[in-house]
Amino acid sequence: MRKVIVSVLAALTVFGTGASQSQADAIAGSRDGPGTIIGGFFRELVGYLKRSDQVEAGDEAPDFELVPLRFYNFDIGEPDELRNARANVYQGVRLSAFKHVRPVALIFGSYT
Amino acid sequence: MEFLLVYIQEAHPADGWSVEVNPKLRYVKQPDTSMQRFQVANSCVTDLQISIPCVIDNMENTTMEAYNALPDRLYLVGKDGRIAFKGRHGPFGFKPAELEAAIETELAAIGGES
Amino acid sequence: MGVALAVLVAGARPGIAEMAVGGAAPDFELMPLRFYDFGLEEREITRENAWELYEPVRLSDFKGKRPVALVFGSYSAPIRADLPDLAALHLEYGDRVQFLFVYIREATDPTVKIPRAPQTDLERIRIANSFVNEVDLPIPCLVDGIDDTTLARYAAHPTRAYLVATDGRIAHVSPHASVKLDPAEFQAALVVPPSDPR
Repeated sequence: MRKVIVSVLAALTVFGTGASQSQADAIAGSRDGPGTIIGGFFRELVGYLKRSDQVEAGDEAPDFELVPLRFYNFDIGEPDELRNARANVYQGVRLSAFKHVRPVALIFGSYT
Repeated sequence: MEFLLVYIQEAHPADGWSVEVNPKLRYVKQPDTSMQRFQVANSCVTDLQISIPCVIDNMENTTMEAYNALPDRLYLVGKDGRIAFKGRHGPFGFKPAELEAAIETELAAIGGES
Repeated sequence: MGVALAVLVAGARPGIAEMAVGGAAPDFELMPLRFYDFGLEEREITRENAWELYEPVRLSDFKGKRPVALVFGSYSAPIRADLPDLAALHLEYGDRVQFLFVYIREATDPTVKIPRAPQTDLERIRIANSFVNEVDLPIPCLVDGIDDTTLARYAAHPTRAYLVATDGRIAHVSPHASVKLDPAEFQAALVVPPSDPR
């Protein structure tokens, strides 16, 4: 299990580094002129300031049901597991399905 | 222990605050449709060889808003369904080492590996 | 229902006349599973043309540039046994011939592999993505629209492969319900002997 966690966190580092680098590059310079960079930076800053955390540690995690990229077998002990695993590509993956089963690490991000 | 990559709206789309991370990463426009978001998410996962299961936020960005996750962020949801760890916003707050420490704490609290 | 029946009947009959060797390959516009760089033209992606990354792929994009090996299949298609040969062809000719896999509607009862047949374009693209990951398909994948237009035009049920020459004409067709393509036909279709160092 530790090996799994370490390898996943290594993958996260790759993903997060890309995101961090993109932000750093944005500040350092881009193809755009200074006006666009500054304008974009302040737009983003205003956007961030407007958003406030809606959850804190200890709160019930907001549930969601989101469609996956493809079949994943999450092995959460439901009967007829393969069928249910493949059904999630239509029904979506519910966070609450993991409650009382196992912890879930959520990694939010995008390509850019 | 489960890991889920929640793919959200683009942080630096071509039609927003765009940057060029490296020559191979093209200018990606903010997706307008679920199909477009699927394509860019799939490109990301494939190009970066991410093996973590990936789910895609809806075009209303409901989950991103609920977790205030833009541009990127880490959370740990405990076995009891409560937030066990809330990372700071990326890029500078995106720290896998902090998530690892939280995972170790959670696993110890629930009595070992899960 | 009537259209679906006609498509099933057409697909079940081998040697459909409308797809004869020498005929023009019907053009299509299909959504790719993800961004693919086909290297068709030198261009710089900019803020202004970034939307083109989301554009569908057209067969006519390759006309005059390189031959295209079109492989049609789905979860319920009898394709898995042929995949090693397909991979070998791709390894040999992939630098000179564009291989494209087109995910189409399942020909037989799909519930053996998937919960039900997809009912929207987005459901089909997720099913297709699952399939290519499961079989570790090495070639780019496009997805037929839920209206099954390309399936019908190519009489592709349950599975089929075509080699489209650089001039846009069909050079070779696989046997019915198979994706086996003759390597000799690839050689004949290649009019530019030097490898394209893409």
